[in-house]
Amino acid sequence: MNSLKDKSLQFSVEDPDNPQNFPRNLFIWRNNLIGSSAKGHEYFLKYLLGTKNGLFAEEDCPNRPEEIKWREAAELDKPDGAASGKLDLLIDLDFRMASSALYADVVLPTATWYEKDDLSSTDMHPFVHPFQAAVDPLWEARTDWEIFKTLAKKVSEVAKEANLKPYHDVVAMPVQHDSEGEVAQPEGKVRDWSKGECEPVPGKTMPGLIPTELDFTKIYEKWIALGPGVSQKMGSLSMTWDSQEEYQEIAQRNGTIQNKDYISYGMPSIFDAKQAADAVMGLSTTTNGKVAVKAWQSLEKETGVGNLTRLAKDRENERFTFEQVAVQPQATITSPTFTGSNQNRRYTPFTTNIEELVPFRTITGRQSFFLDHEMIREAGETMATYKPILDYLPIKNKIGGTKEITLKYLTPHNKWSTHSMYFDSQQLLTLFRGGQTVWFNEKDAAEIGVKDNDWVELYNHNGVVASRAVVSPRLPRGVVYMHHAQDNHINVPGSKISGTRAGTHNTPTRIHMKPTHMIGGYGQLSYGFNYYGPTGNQRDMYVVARKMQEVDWLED
Amino acid sequence: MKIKAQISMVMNLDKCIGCHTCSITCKNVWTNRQGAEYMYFNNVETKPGIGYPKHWEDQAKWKGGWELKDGQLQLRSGSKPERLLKLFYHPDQPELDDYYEPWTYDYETLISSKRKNHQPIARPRSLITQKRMDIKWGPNWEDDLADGESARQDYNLKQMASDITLEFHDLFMKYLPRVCNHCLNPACVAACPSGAIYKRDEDGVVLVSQDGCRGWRHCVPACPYKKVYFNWKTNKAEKCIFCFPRLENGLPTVCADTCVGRLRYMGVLLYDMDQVKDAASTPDKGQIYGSVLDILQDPNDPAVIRAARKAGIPENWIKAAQDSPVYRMVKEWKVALPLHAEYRTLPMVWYVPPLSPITRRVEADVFLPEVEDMRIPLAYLAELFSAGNVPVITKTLQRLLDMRLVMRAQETGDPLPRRLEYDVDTYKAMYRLMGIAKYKDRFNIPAGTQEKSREKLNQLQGSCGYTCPGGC
Repeated sequence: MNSLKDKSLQFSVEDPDNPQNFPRNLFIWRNNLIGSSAKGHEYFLKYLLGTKNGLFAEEDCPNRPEEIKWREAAELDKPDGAASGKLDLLIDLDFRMASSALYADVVLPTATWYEKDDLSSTDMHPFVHPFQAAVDPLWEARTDWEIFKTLAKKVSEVAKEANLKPYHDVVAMPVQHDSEGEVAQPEGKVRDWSKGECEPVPGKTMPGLIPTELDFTKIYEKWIALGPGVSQKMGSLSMTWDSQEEYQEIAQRNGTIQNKDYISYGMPSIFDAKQAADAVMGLSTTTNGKVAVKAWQSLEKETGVGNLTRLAKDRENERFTFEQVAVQPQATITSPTFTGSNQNRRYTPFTTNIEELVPFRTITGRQSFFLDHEMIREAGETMATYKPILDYLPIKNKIGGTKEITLKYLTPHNKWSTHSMYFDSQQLLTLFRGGQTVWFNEKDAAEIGVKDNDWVELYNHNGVVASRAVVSPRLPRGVVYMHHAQDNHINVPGSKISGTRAGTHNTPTRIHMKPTHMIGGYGQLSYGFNYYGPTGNQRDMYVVARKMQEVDWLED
Repeated sequence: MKIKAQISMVMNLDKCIGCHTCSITCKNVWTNRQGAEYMYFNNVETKPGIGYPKHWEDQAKWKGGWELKDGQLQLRSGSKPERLLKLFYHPDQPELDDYYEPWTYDYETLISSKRKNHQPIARPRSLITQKRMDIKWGPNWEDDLADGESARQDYNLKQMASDITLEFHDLFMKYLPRVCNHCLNPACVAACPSGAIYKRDEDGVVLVSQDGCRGWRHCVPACPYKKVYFNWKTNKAEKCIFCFPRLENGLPTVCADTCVGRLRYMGVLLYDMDQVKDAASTPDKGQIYGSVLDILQDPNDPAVIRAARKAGIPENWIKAAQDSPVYRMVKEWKVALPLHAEYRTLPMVWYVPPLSPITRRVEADVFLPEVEDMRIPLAYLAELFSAGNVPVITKTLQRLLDMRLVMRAQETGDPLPRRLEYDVDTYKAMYRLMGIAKYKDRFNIPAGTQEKSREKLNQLQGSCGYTCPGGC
């Protein structure tokens, strides 16, 4: 703590351009990062991958950060500098040769939905769906489960050969949602320990500091077993309950690890995917009635609201198994983990808050429309507020030389793809224009001499998109639509402006960090992984649109 | 009276979201092969639009369907001698570009690309010539009014005496899924010089005999819906077969089965074959729809049942006709209409016309608009579904609105309007079938007339196996 206080020890985020702090290895799994979800596509190409990109942005930062170390361009441009290619190794698990795979160092061909056993669920509906292998994975492909298991085994082997000792580290963890951390910063006042405004107290005035031990030689042994972390107690949100019975039941059902040399000897096996699915459903409040009842009891105790247990009591004897959900997807058991109720009715959030008076997980315990955190007040957003598009130039100097028009750039979801998934399918592309499209209002298009199906370029300081134009009366003036996550490895030419392959829907974008999203430790405004925290807001952009002067496919 | 049975379909356009799942599943099952790449037995169009193939509704161009000449029904493509003269050269053929040139991509370049200066790219390649191509048109080019200029070329818009400009302020659109209509008076059958196209006796499915087809292609322009296609590989005509192998097993077509919006219904209609010609010859095109309703027979009428039995229609078909969702919507409730009845082919695929959002602000306490207030002009829907007869489309939409009024009143207790056409139980039944019907309610298909086909199968028993590898 003293080292942090006197700054002899610092967080890596304080010096992101230091090569020691670069991300070096990246696995992409169940995602198409490059070319689809990477907000600010060209920045990813340049800074993360260090490859050809269409970025125009000059370093232009009149207000330099005070708490982040600023390194000058000359230093960034050094061979191992931050200006290009921070990443050493990109590994992509995919069954499509989509853009992430194109840019990856290693592609691990993975099984499709019909070649593996898996579970799917969400809090948007009350069902658990199975994936079942109808056929084995084709060619070299393996299931995700098998790929990671293979990697775990190999890493363990190599670690043993290299005689790697356990590695000790300290992980900083944000003040957590649904923990005592929610009252860590009373009255929504931020005091900065690094400026001496308060004492640094992990989990209260600063992130929690969690010591960890990584024994690379034992990754595989641990990977194939359900570990001791859930053998005694389990919890979700702020609830906890005894899990010994479930742990034993899973051991019975799945069998245990038999190898006496393994650290996981005697623990329940999750060697194959079906076993893992059964372990999940044995522990979950939504698929094991006994667990649900215990969780409700915990919530009763925690909130003082009585008579909640009955919501799951009638299904206490149910315990979903993979075999059962494989016969038919099943409606889940009403669980305090979610606020919907599955009691013979349609599922909708906040039902138990309203009907059972379970307090909302907010600072007031009620629905909160008014937010009084000091950063929210400063931003003028204590009540829901309309904020207009950020008013800035799309680029300092327009290219010119032909008619151009500046338009708001919107990226709604696509009709025949789920993000980029399926976008490269020949049949689905045949249903429309066979590649990327940008929708224009007819009068806007006429202003720059663009007709339906003409090639157009859209650019701003973040890069250039080349696409076919759709000229439609369905759009109001002043905006263009470029449907979200159209992959640019299909039918996209080069751009004369950038001199390389034109980009994706995320090329004209970059992330804007919204300061109020970084509030933590204050009731519902507390960080939860994939739940609440800073979002990568990349929309609200302007682009300059023009007719493409010359189509060059850049196949060299 | 000569009773025939027809498997018929209703599409409730109020529920179509334009997802094209029907097109894709149909393509995967039937036309995903060489020579058939450009064919969509089932396609979905955004209307207004010129459609697929381009301008298919313009019969001045294609001469499809029938017309009345001196009160007599005649193919628009001419009398028999006139058509004989065109036997070797038929000038009204659609060409590939009227549909679109099908393509695929050089996907392989993504996998086996050499080290390059720029990101590799999969470019389109023609499935016909195998050469590089620029994509200029597709089977759904006009999706969601994508191309305003072509939307304004819509044939029906031009027939309307109004100044719809299709600008942002007066926009409207709807989806139109289309399959072969398996017409009672099919022009393709009449036009075939080889007699290769026939309407199946037992269920009315219209089929092209692949053995009989000589590739004259007279069926292609003759079909006013442009739902007969020419396979460039086999030189034979092909068309939607209503998934007859599925029908024969009591299953609905693939397009109907996979429809996400559950907007398709299938069932049996009984009609009087003796009156088909008269119905098709109804002088006023706006009255053809009414004439067709007249030849559809009440399956519960003892006289009709007797006649059906006499005509050899099996009991399970009569039973299915009595419990047919299609009969209910088409004849009992009169909420489903034929597409372009003026072509006089008597199509057996029916459409429940779509309601649409209101265009202008109505009184604050009016929760349901009048039909005239809706965004899609009545005259436009009339061009599509009632041969220009606006009162017919108005009445049909009013029935759909009344259903909503009645169902709403069940919850609110509001008084019902006096002008209701049907009794409350009828509207409730309409709501059940059109709103929440399950699979078994939407499809009631008697499993084939298997008396004959079983016999054939029995003969085949034991003939497959070790003795004739590779097929029998």
